[in-house]
Amino acid sequence: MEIVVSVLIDTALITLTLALAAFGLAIIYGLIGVINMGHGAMLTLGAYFTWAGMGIGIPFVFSVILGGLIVGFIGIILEHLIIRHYYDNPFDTLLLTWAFFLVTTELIKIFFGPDFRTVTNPFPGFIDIGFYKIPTYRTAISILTAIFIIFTGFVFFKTTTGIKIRAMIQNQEVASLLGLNISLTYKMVFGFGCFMAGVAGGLVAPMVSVSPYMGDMYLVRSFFVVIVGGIGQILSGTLAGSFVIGGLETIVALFSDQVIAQVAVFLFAIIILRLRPQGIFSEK
Amino acid sequence: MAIKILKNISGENKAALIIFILMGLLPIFISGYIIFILPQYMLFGLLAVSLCILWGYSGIISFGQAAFFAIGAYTMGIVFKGGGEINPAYVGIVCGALLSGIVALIVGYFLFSVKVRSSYFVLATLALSIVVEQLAKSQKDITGGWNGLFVDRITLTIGPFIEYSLFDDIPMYYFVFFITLLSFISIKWLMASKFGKILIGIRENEDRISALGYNTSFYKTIIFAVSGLLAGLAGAIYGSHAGFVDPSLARVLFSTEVIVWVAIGGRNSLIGSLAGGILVASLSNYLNSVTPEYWQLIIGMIFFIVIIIFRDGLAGGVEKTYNKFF
Amino acid sequence: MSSLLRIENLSKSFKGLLANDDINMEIFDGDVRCIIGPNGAGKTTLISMISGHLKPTLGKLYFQNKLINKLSLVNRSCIGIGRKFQTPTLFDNLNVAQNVELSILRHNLSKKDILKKIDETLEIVRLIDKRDILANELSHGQRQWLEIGLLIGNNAKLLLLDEPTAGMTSEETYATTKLINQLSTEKNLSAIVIEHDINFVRELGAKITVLHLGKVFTEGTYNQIEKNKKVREIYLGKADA
Repeated sequence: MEIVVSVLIDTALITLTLALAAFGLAIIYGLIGVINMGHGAMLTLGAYFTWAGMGIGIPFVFSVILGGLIVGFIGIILEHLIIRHYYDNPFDTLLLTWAFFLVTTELIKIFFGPDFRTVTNPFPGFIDIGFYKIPTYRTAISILTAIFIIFTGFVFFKTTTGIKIRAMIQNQEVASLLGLNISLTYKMVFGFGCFMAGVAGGLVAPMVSVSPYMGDMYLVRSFFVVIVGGIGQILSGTLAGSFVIGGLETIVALFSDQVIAQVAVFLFAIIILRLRPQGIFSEK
Repeated sequence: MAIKILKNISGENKAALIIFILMGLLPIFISGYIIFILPQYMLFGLLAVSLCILWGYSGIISFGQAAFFAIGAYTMGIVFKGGGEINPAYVGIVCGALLSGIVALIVGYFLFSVKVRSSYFVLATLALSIVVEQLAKSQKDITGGWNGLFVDRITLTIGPFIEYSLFDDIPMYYFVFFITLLSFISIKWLMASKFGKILIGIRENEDRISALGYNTSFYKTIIFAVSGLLAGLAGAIYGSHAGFVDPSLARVLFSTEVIVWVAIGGRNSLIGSLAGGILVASLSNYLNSVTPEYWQLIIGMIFFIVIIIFRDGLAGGVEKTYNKFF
Repeated sequence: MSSLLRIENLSKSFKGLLANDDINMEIFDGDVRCIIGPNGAGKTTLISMISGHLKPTLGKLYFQNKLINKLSLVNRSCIGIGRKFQTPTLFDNLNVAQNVELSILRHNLSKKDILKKIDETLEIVRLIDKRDILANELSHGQRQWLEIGLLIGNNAKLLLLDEPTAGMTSEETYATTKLINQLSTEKNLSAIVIEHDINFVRELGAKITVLHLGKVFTEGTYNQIEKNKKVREIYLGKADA
């Protein structure tokens, strides 16, 4: 019984952490069809900004938010200057966001140096429930992620803004006739996706070492999460995909090491996607 | 008469002729480090060509070319380690190319036989690089793990009596030059054939070409296998030239370097991609020694600019300038 | 005259919506058939089932008396079913000759024969003097003709033409009727043409099938259809099936 509970808790934590990391990618890919290959770099940036903020005395939470906002702003600039000219060509946006990744990673190395940085854990320790010790910090961000997903779901389905965005995705022509500013909406969505990536980076920073390439693994996993979950399904898809990818990784890691586990999960996911290309939850 | 023939050769073929003649004659005029290192860049040029036939001709972006290069290189390394009576030269090269080609054939068949979305394909090729890299790192007994494998310079046997050792610079140079030239001509012939034209049709409008009765999955699988074969061939020879193979040959960043080479060289031009591989790789190396902190940034910015403005890369730029003045 | 296409009890439903209901039709070699009907009548759905882009829910399709229900899209193109899409689907960045060349490459002809066939095809579709022009530089009407040229180069026996005169001038529209009839009489090709342009339908002079709400409403010559009050009514939304 206790083993079951501890496995469930572990799974939930891993699922939600992955979902947090993948959320920004899911939003951008799901809503505006751009494969943001710079997603990992934006995560890394968020982590570095958080570290920098804490270095000058800003408390953790504010550093994370500030970092996210800066990354979101960078995203908006990128969209405005470059990305928005290539929306009808998905290969170009892929390459351009990849170029962003290359340039950004180098700039990070130049400004911050290539060494590892650490961000101190604001909630160290464990929650002791008797038979199992749950890491406090992981729990905190898992709960935060859950709240965030619910909040986004609320905005998306219950508010006018959300309805407008969904209208735009379904039919641009009609949406613009209804007075919706398409280009502004695209900017907002892109910026928000980058903001989420930055926030995710800041939030995972205490759990890993902050380095110029830390976001890379999250890029590939986020990619898998989104495609396995189903591309248009930003909420249910991201959660489902995270559950599959994260859960599988944990299980396989029990029998071998972490690295092999990741590779095995990739292969498994590729095969599953070949059989069901639309992901777990089909696109609208 | 000679002038008439010259006039009939297309611009791109003229450029290719010039480049190969230059490379062929170079060792007569120069010696030293350049002659030592240029074969490596020629092999990178072949690797670039292997991406060009996918990306430029068929519209398939692969983030996994490094995986095939590494498979070729490691095959050479493993054959070498195996030692024994067999001369690893031919076995290493042929097996490296074949194994890489077969992996590409299987992966290609798997990915193309169902209409998957392009993002899935990109992800799969990305994953391929990661998988090969992780395998290279983890299977210590076979691959030497993180440390990799050492490979000597091979000796080719021609007939029962002639031995052609690639230990020295000049013999190695001409061997690689010969392979590069042969491969380039073969690929050029393939792309100019009916097969190549159909690939262009697939790139231009896959729905239209399949509605004309062509099995696009078949064509894409074959070109992917050819690409893998070529990349593996280059990798196998590289293994012997560099003397050393390690997991970094398979990493995603190397795959994307190849994309940068082809983008800058000219994705729609075979000779452009070849030149791109040679020039950008050597430029990167040069910049690395001159400004180790900034060279990747410079390359990244050039890549950015090429995608936005110079979509046909160097090849396109050269063509435009040529047309302006002649 | 042998049967080229025979459709028996063909139906297509999308999640409960019946787009085509029990369609029966037979086309012989050299036949030209015009399909008309209000929007949503199921015309393009029918064409899609013949070409292989959609799978029928019920019914059978016979091409040259062989059942082709299970034949893939690609293979149907190989046996001679050619489709011109509603929006011209071409190789935009290639020139006219290269476009046609791609349709011919499927047959194993010598280089000389390929060039000859390209020229022949371009003559038929009146684009012989445009062979070096890029496809996306052609006028809309010329693009339609080029796509028909692709089908001819591909040796299609049954041409499925979905609104071939959309975007054409009246001269081009008239020329298209001549083209289709020429293909029918001179080359024994068959065509099923979906059209809205009433002048075109009249000029074409082919037998007409009227679809309404997914069913075959009536069939006849242009004069018969023109006099049919009920046909007028379905266009004005007054009648049911």
